[in-house]
Amino acid sequence: MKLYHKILFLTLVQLGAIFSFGIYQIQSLYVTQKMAFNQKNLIQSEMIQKRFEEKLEQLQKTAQILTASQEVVTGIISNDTDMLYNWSKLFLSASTHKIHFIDLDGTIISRGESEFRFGDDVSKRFYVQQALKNDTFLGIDVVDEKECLVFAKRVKQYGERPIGIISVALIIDDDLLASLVQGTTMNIAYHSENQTLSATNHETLIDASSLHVMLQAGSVKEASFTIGLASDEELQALKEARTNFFVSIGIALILFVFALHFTLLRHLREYQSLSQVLIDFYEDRLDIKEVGTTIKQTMNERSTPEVKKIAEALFNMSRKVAETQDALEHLSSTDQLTALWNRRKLEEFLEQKLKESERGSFFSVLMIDIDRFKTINDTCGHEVGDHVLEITARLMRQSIRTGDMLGRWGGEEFLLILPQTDLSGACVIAEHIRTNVKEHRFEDYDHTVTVSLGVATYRLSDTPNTILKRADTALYRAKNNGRDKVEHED
Amino acid sequence: MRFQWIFIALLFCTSLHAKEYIFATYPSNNPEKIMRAFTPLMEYLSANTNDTFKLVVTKDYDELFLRIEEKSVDFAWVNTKSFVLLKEKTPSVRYLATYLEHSKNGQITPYYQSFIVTLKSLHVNALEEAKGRHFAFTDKDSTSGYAYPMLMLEERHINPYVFFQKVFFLKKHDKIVEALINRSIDVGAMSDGTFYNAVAKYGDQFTILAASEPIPLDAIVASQNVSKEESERIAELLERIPQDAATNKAFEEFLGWESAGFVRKDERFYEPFKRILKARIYETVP
Repeated sequence: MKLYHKILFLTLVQLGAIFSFGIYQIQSLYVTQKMAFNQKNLIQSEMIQKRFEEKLEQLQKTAQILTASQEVVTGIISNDTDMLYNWSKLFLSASTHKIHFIDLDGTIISRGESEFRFGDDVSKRFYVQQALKNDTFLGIDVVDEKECLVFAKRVKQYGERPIGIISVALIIDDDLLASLVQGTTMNIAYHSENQTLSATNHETLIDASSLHVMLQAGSVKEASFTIGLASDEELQALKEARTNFFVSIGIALILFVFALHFTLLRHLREYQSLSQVLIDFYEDRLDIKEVGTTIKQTMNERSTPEVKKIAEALFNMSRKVAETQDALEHLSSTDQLTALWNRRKLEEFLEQKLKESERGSFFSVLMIDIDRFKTINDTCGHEVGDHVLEITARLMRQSIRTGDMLGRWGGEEFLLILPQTDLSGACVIAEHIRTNVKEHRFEDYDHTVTVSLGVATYRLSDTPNTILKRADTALYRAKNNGRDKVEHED
Repeated sequence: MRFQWIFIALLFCTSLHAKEYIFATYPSNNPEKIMRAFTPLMEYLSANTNDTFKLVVTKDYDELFLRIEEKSVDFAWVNTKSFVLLKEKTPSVRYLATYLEHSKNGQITPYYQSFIVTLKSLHVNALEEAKGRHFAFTDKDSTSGYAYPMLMLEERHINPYVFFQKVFFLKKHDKIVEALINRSIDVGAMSDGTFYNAVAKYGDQFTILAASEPIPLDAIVASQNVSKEESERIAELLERIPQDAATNKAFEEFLGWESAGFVRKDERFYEPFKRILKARIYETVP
């Protein structure tokens, strides 16, 4: 597996684990909050239920107190409207909107909420009939053209003889509904065949459920109370927070993967480019100096510090290798005694010049030999012979141009390659060498040293052997003609 | 210096004799209105006697009777029926004066009348036509709101508990008017003063189905607590109240009574009313 994939895989696994844990935590938090939210709603629902029951209890309690009053009983028997009014108005409150005293014929004797309205017939009313029939009625019915929670109770004299009915009613209106849900986040709606009311402006209830009330069926059809959340903003906010977190995590994960991907690519590309330089080097597409140059470019580019350090190390290493290579090259290309090119190097130069000549260039070669060098060695020793060789080589080097290639061909024989030099030019240089050597006075050798020179110039379809052969032939002729001569081909 | 001491001594003696009298009346109207209507009278009596008169509005006639018997009140304003009953029950009660009113014929009289009234819109022109209707008295202790209307019905051989569909008791005369206007009742009994106030307030939309003979107006009495001399003195003070006095204006302003002060009559002035009490009264459904 590639490093890229390894890093990416391991990072993703770790990130996945972290994010999974985060998601788990958020989900757990959400579930906890949701449970708390539901619990709160349940408590609120129970509170509303309790309030509703308290309203019903209040109605029943009021009716119980009034029916227990002997004065009220007397008032009903004697149709004492005023006395009943004075009694009932004491009990009117926000929880008791209407108190009616009704005789057994169903005629209202007195209304607590309206002093001058009485005498009307309500015998056909469902709650009156139910109270007369079953002693009590607790339910929803229409009282004075308004739908009300009604508790009606039959009044008995001495607890035995029925004399009338007391009905206590609470109007089902917006105020009642608002009082039930006051201080909560719930809404309550009342629906019947005649009207639909709601405690708040929210028309729809969320998680709606019916209010559990023990009410008798009244004349109002399909009457029911429904409670539910006024708004699910709180839950939505919770859900939104969870979704936002998940989306954020997702985006962060994607961005992180991209960032990791590009960071890895960038770093690995630098490493790859460095390694490519090394590959090019060992596959001979680059030499060590080019390696150094390429790495130096890499160092100068906007690389990361780590890559720069590696590049710097590689650069220094390549420089050292190049220096070593140069030293080895030099050692393998030069003659140790004379510090001139050796024969192998001269052959390379010659091959190169021949190739260049195929593209229109030209050159000449000089084959140089120290005259009677064997005698010097034999008579004066090798040390003097080496001294002569060394000084002669220096003299020849002083006599040539910068681009000329001078080397020791073997023993006391030298080869000089003269680029862009024709035969006559080569002869001039040869003569100059010959003169310089002859005129020089050696320190360790008292005699004059002379050299013989054979000159040859490039001809079309020359090979190293052919041109050297011609120079060698010219040298031979110079030797035969008395030495200390310059001879050229033809 | 000597005169100064005599003056101070007289003042001291006077303050020693200053008394606080309780003046009670029945709840013929809203207690607050009654309190405001009677305040000038209490101030008048207090100012002219150097005694203090405090007004008490009882819950009903029964309480008023009881307090007179118990002598927890010194003076009382009672209606005709109450006076007659009270005098029979407690002979020691002393008559002081009779209330006076401006009648609609422009005279000042110690009489008034009871009317049985309906709405013109119901097209009932005689009591006999009101059968099966809703009827209302004020209070069983009321003279003009119950006793005389019951007599008028009796004279026509009408048992209200049978003749009418329902009979209500509304206690206050004003309430009879309001109940009529609200159509809670069809026929109601009220004093002539209440009737004329109703006409003034709601216009000519009422029909008088029956009118009673003149009824002596309310009486002011003193309990046994008050001496004969003191009773005489108070009776004289009441009689001396001028027609344009603040007391009369207050009665008119807060109770709608066209008050003209008081007149001292004899207890025999109320004798005819005893006939009413002896008349056959249908107290309950037979």
